[in-house]
Amino acid sequence: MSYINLKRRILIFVALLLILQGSMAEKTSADWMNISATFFSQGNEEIALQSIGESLELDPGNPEAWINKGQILSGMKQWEKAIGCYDKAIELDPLVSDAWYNKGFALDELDQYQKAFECYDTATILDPRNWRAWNRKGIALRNLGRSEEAIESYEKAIVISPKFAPAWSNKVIALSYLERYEEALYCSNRTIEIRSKNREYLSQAYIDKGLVLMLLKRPDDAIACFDEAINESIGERRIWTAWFSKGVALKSMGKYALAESSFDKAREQRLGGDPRALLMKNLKNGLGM
Amino acid sequence: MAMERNSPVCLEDDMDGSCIKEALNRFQGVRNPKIRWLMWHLAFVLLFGVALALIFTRDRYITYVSMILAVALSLFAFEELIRSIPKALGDLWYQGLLAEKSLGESVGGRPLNLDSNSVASLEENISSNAEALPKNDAEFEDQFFNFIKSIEDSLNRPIMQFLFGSSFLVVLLSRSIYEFWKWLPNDFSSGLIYKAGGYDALFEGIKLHSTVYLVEYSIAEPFKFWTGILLEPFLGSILGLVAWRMFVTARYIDKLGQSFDLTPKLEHPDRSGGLGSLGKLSLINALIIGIWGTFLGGWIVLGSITKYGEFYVPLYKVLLALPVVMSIICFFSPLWNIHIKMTKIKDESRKECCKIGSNIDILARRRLSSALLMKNEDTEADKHIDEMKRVYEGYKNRPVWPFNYKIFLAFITSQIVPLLGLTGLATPIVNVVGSLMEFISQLTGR
Repeated sequence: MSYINLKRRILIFVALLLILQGSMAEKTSADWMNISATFFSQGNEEIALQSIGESLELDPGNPEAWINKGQILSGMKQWEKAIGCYDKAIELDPLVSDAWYNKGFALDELDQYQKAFECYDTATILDPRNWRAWNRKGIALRNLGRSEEAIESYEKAIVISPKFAPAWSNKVIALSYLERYEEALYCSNRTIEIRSKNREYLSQAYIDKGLVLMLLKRPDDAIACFDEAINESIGERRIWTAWFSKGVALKSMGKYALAESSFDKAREQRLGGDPRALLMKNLKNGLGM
Repeated sequence: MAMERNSPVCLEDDMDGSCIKEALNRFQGVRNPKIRWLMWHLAFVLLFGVALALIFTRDRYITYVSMILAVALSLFAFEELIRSIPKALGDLWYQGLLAEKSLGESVGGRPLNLDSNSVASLEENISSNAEALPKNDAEFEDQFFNFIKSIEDSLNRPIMQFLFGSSFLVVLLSRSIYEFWKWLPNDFSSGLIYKAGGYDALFEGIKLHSTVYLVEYSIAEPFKFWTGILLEPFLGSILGLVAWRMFVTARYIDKLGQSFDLTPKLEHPDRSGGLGSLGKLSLINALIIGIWGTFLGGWIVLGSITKYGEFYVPLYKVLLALPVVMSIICFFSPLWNIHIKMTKIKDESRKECCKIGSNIDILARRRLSSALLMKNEDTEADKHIDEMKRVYEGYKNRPVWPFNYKIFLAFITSQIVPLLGLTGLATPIVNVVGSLMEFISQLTGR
């Protein structure tokens, strides 16, 4: 029995136990919220949604439960429905910063950047210490083409939480778009420093630094960064972006053969094999050969 | 085996009417034999494909299958259009509905000389007017022959066919391009690479993602992928050839009214002065577009009621206005000039109507005096009065549109589904019908 099957069986067993328990004892709204949170954290969104539904049936006036339901729906990529839940939470208590923050996130996914910005703005007014909201506000501002203001937002997030790498990383991009490359380079070094501790997204930090170096017309240094990124992301699917960036840098230096082999690598990594062979295999499978 | 002639060729000396006949017999709306064969048989192949798809995939690709059905129906309607062109031209020619373009003269045939008060002179006038029906003389025949040839040449103009075919190919390829575009951003890394790498990065990025799209999407959605890049552009190019010919047909219906004088017939059985064949051509043109209106409108209605095609409903709502408007333009616009001419003819015949009215009065008075003098001449006078009343009615009810109510009704019927979809009235109607059915079933259940 595979690990995934075993995990699924355990989850079903737990669910049955909970249902059995439910038939024996009355549960409160808070109980259902806890059950929902447990299943959601385990990735079982369907049962989490049912459980939060039970909670809301018992206490429909609980804004926290509505936010949780919105988060589950967001996890299921049902953004419109999620926004409806956050609106309900805001209607019940307009001063809950989390409801505004989550609504902004869902609106971002629907490419409604102006509305998203307004939500993040409200979230930061209600809770000025919410560095995540400052960071997301920066992203919304950059999407609206307001890079200067975006940088200010990232800086607010960094002041509150200096080791919050996403804000540093986003600042690199915003500064690069404003052609403030030296500052961008400093920020990318800071990002690498922070990310080196848990190595999460470290390869992306190297890629960003490499791109800034390319913008500073230092392609050799950029290639060194892309190589670092490749070493850091071995085994990850995202490694292709490092190969691709390296190919672009090599091409800019006129090293076409090397660039082409980098692009080939990027294609292979992105697809998990040789494109021609995969296409032939797909065609054969499709034709039932 | 007789050699097939590709275009009507007639020497000017041969103009004796047989040339027009031959030109019409040899008329080819699609001159290229390969394309003609393809267009005439493709509809059947598509219908066969639709049947197979319904058998093997059931309702899985029902929206797509209905689109293929719409293409097949368009091709059937197109075949009818091409067959109807020489028929319509023949109708106009053989019934003497066209006359050489005259400058400043009255249109619609020579007016009756109704100044005389005697019945004898009236009969004489009628017979002389019959002789005055437009004669198809050699020069006029030549003019009409050139007109037929001009239509045929325009229908088969290679450059325009290529342009229309290519444009429609791109239009139908747009679904695949749109899907690729929608798929693309999810896989793109930050846009900074394109700022750093410029056009080289953009070019290589598109190349890389196209390869990935080709490999991954071709296996994830093989039906949608292969039909999107092969079948749809192919059908698009065929529809482009259809669209060009529809455009030429509409243009030449309009041109016909400008190049020749029209002589619509009184009391013609087609109730449109004999010009009904032109109305029919416009109707087929509008119906071809109407098929697409029905397809879009139908799915707007069905998509909101059933789960099928729900995803595409917003897109269909945007697109539907186009076939509805195009259909109306396609039906009325080419006939508009003919309508103006027919209205003018009707206006001119009012004077004749008044004269007929005076003659009826004279005959009625004569009958009255005969009755007072106890003469037995009533039967003859009654016959004349009835005949003149009939002629009067014929003049009075002269049609002003080159189509009858049946053609108009067919056009209106073809617009019902698209209009229901466009106005959003279909859903409440379906709901009311559903409630009614439920109520009836409850009653019968009791």
